[in-house]
Amino acid sequence: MSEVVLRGIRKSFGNIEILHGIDLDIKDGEFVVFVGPSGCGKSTLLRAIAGLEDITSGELFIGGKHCNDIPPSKRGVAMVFQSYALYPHMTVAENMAFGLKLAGMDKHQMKEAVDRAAKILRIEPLMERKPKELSGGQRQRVAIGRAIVRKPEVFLFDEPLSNLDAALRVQMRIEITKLHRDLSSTMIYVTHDQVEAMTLADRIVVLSYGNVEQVGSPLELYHHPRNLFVAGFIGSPKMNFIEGKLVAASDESATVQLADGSMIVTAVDAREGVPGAKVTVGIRPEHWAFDTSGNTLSGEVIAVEHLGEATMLYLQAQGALEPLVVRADATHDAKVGEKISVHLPPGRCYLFNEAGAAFRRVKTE
Amino acid sequence: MAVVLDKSHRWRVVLAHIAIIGFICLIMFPFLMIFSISIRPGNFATGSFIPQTISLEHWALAFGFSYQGADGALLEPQFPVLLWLWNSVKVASLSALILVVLSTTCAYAFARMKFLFKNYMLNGLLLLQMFPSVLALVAIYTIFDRIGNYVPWLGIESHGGLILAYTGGIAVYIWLIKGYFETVPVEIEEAAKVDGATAFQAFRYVLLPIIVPILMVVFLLAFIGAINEYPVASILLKSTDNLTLAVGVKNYLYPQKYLWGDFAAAAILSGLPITVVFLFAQKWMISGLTTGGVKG
Ligand SMILES: Nc1ncnc2c1ncn2[C@@H]1O[C@H](COP(=O)(O)OP(=O)(O)OP(=O)(O)O)[C@@H](O)[C@H]1O
Ligand SMILES: [Mg+2]
Repeated sequence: MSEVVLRGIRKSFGNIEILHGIDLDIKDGEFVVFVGPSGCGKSTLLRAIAGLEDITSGELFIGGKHCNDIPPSKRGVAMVFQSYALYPHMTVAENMAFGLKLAGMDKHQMKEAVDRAAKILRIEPLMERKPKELSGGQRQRVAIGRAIVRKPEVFLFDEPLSNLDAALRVQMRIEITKLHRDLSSTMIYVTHDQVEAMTLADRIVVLSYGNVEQVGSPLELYHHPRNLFVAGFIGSPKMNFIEGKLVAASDESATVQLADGSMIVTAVDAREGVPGAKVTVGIRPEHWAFDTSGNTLSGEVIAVEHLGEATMLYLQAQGALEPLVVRADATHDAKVGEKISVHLPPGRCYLFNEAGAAFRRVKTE
Repeated sequence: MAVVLDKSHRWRVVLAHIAIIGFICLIMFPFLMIFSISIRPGNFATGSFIPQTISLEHWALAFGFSYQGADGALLEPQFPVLLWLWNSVKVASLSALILVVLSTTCAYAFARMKFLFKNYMLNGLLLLQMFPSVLALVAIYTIFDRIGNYVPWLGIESHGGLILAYTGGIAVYIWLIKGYFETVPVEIEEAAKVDGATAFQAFRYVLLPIIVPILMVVFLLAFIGAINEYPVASILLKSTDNLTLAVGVKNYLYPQKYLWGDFAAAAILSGLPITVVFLFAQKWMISGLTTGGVKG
């Protein structure tokens, strides 16, 4: 049993508080991914769970055991550091075997475990090298190897794939999924990569400035972000936001007037909204439509990117804080400078009140 | 290593070599001078640089053999030079060893732990070290005289006392090792702790192997310092058999008679342990032990 429970975890460095009371229940065997902008405290939280940073206040339980005062070596966790932190004087093989040696495993078993990990991570030819003779990506894989040979109760990964090329990243992602299935240990994983977060996670924890913004399954966060921050953070390219004024609200739709006077209907439960209040409409780049009339917005194309499988259009429109990103078919032939209209399917729209909280969406097409 | 070089590089290398060789000659000159004095017959400080006749009388005396001079007179060794050498080596290696152990642990605390008044203590250490020990000779004498009343093997006329006095020069070494510790990323130790190592195991298996070069440097510096040290040793040690070589050889130069030849032989002898320790330590003084551990 190795569930990880955080109760009001706060962490201060000097008198600057970095984590402001984190509550989290991570179930045994669950794969949880922490995402959040740089500097929001992901590494700090991970290090607090590992026992490398003492907790200023709050309580931490690992496997039901109160862990605030238990040293890292006794917590039964393995960690992949953001900076790798390999032992520079040991070979790759020794690096990976270090934890097993300390645990008193016999030589034969140890070699077997190390070889198995090396095979998974494709670093077999490097086993006799020192870390300084490896590339960044190779070092990163050694760091992962060092963690996985130990088969701990809880894995902590701090951006473990950040230095790998795209192909290797996909492979490693699959290996980690496999590993999670085989070991069924609890895994806590920090990443900046949207795809990693969406594909690996049972649940995603979105952090911002040391607060948990929302916890939920990847699709839950995608379809029902609780607020503007989560909506903007989950999904890539990020969601478009257009400011407007609420004109009519019911339990299954809300009508918003945009800056250019156009009326947009969104399928949300807006009973709590007050007509006349400032609201923000959100729509993801992949959800715009072209062929329908009504519920449209017009803007001037300021840039066109041909990605091969799709075309990204950037529109300048009134009321939008940033240029709107529209993902269109690869065959779309808009030109820069052209004025076009795009349709917002009501069921695809998100709506947020002035404070940034989301109205509940009634259907997700 | 294999950086592309431009054409003038070769000439610059040649020039650098010439400069280095010239510099080495300059440094070596006094040493060769002393060596020449030690193999010249008779006790003269001046004379031709390359001796006309070579005589091993001074060396024989230094090694404790009597020597039949050319005029038939038998020269007996006056002083136990080899014993002095042994005293020096003993005091120097023990004090260097103690210094390494103490300064490593102190430096670790200063580099890695948080405690009250840390910066004041560090600066205090450095400040104290700025006063030469010669200024405190009288105090040192009194202190060790007093200590000797209670613990005889740490008092005046004891090598224990001298070792203790030398160990007092720990501040510079703490600073030196602390600086090196700070180049070792903390994450490496943290990784060891997460891997299941106790604080001691993390130190022993991860940190220690990485910091060997600086420990060797400290040992060497402390060793050389102790072998060459004169003022403190000269007031703490008095009886002939107890002296270190640095203090002992001074006996060859009494005002009535300057035995330059014997002095020169003994002086060169005192360089011997330093050379041996240096050759041994050199093997461990490899740079770049910390590279590759962390990103960037
Ligand atoms: N030892 C420390 N002393 C003081 N402040 C620190 C310390 N470590 C981290 N911080 C601060 O804590 C905040 C969170 O840092 P942390 O490393 O957890 O960010 P992160 O979310 O992991 O960012 P990234 O995605 O860039 O790795 C930052 O603002 C950082 O400046
Ligand atoms: Mg981080």
